[in-house]
Amino acid sequence: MDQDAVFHLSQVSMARNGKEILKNIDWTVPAGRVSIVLGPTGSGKTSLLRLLNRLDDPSSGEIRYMGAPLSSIDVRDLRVEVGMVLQQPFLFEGTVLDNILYGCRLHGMDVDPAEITALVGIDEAMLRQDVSTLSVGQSQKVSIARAVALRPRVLLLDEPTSGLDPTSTVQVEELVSGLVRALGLTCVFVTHRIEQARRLGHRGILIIDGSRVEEREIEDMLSSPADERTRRFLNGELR
Amino acid sequence: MSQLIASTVLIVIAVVLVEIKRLGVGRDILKGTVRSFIQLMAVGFALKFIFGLEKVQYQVLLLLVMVVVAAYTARGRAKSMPGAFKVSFVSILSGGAATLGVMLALGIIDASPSYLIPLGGMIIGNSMNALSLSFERVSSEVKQRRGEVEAALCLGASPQKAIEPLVRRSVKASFIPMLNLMKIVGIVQMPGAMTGMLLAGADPVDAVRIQLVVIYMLVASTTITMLVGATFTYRGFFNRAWQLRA
Repeated sequence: MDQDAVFHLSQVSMARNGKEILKNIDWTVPAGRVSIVLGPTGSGKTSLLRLLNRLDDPSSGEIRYMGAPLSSIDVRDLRVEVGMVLQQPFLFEGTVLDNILYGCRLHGMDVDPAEITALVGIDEAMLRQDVSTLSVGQSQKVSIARAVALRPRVLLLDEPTSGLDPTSTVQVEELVSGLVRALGLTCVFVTHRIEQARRLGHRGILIIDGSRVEEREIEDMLSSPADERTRRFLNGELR
Repeated sequence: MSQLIASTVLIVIAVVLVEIKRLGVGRDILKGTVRSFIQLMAVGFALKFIFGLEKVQYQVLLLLVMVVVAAYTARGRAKSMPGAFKVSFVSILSGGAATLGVMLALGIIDASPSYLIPLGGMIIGNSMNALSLSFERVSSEVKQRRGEVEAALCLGASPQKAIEPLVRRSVKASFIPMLNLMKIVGIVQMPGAMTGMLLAGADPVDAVRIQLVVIYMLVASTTITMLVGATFTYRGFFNRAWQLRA
């Protein structure tokens, strides 16, 4: 197994209500890079991501995190180390500050809110603002800040720009790249947008109908697809 | 008994009216009349028998049977919530036992069947209704706000912590019928215990006094039931890996 691997999946399958959603996935997530999970809508990308912080468990196969079987790690510890930002920014009632400090208060961690706002690019004046007054773009930034405040080793992002306008999308992409550089984070980013994958990613895995089609450097995958299904996806035939 | 026989005239009037209007429910009213007569007479004789049993063990046994039936009924409102029966049973039992215990300890009531059974029945019935409402609401909140719960889980929150705001909202909403009753009691609505005593010829002030005791008793028992219920409600929605059940 790769020494620098954060996650290593072997023959991972997942079924729900009798339907197979993921089929025999082999995948290695390298440390300190942005790994893209790419694929058409409904292909199983989110289901794959949810396995990494145990929001769901696979039906068969094995997932290892830092060399240890995922199921052997305390769920609370795992979720503190492996932060996740959901597609929709579900914020808790209260202020921006309440949200940023939510996890830290839960786990008794000391954090300087100013440091987090600077890191994520949130205006400090916003800290006292009620979250109900935020735009979707601002809310997504707060949900990223909330995850980053716990100082995770890995950040999982499930199509965090899907509800955003082009300007906010670029801001979130720059934020993610900046966090990976500044904190040495390992990032797993789910998207169905090819250009976004190209802008953000280092490595990529392409999932179609729950199966792994390709896994390699994203630029190579997008410029010279090795599989007919990859070509069809890139040509917009599978969306 | 002559009063009871005479009062059946009211049923006859109702049946005649629905038959004239051809609403097609005349037979149902008659069936319902016979059924309610048999049920209530049976309950009357059963209570007469139970009131004759002086031993506290029998009363406790009967109250336990009532708690089981109430817990089963409350569970029916939350079929998607695993373990709802256990939570209901423990919650209703705690609310009932604590409230009746305090009333006995303070000498508000005697440990006689004529107090324990009807008051116990009121406590259990009200707790069941409040708990059912709360279960129904929390189940639908979890369904609607799955993302909010999972956002908390993603930050390492325990299931209890993740579901806490939803449970709090549901419990708060379940208090509304009781709080409304306290606002309008005696003005818009004459409550059951007071009405019964007035019909039986009791002094109105005595009737009010008992009714107030009943209301305070129900406030306490419902509160305890709801809070105990809230403490355990979260369990049914999660598995051991802190994952929301599908």
